[in-house]
Amino acid sequence: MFSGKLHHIGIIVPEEDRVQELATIFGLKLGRQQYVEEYEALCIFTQGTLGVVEFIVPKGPKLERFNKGMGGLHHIAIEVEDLQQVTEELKAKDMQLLEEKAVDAGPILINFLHPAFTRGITVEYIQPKTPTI
Amino acid sequence: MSDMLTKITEVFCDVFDDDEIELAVDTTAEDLDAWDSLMHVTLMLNIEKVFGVRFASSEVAGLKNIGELIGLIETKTAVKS
Repeated sequence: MFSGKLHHIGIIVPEEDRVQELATIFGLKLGRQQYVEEYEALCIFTQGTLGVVEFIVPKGPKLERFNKGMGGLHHIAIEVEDLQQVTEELKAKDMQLLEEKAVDAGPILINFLHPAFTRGITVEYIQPKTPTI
Repeated sequence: MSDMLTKITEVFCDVFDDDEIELAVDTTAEDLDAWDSLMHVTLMLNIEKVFGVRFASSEVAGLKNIGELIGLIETKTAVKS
C-alpha cells in the first residue's frame, strides 16, 4: 500500500478579501497562488508553523455552493510520490477517484478520492511535479 | 408517484433546501445543478437514515440514477425483512 504524508488542509473562503484576515488569525503568510480552471477557484497556499493551509476562493459555481455558500473546511491533502501508482492501488480496491486523469494544478498533479469511500470526508492526493514544491 | 420515490424526493428537497425538486427514475446528477460528489454522499447518508439501511461505499459511488437508487433501497430493505 502506498504511503503519504499530510500536505495541507483546504479551506474554502467565499470572499477573497477575507483570506488575509484568516491567514493573520492562524499566524500564516500568504504564498503561491494558482487559478485552477477545472475547479474554477483561486488557490492560495500559505506558510507558517501551523503547517500548510490552502485557502480556496471560488470563482464559479462548482465550489461557490459548498456548505450553502458559507465556505469552511473542505479537504485534507495527502502528498504521495506517484499519483498514478496511488490511482491504480485504489482502483484495485474498487475505490474511485473523481477525475479520470490527474488534474494539472501548476507545480502539482492532483486528484480526489470519491467522498463515498470516506463517508463524506474529501481527500485530495497531490504529487509534486518536482521533488520540492 | 410511488411511495419510495415520494420519500426520496422529500430527502432531496430537504438536503438541497428546495421544495421544487421533482425526481423521476431516470433523473441523474446531471439534472440537478448542485448534485456533486460531496452532495451525493450527503444525500446517501440521509437516505440511509430515512430508510434504515446501510450502503457500501462502492454502492454509493456507483449509482447512476434514481431508478438504481430505488432498486438498491428495495434490495437492502428486502434483506432486512
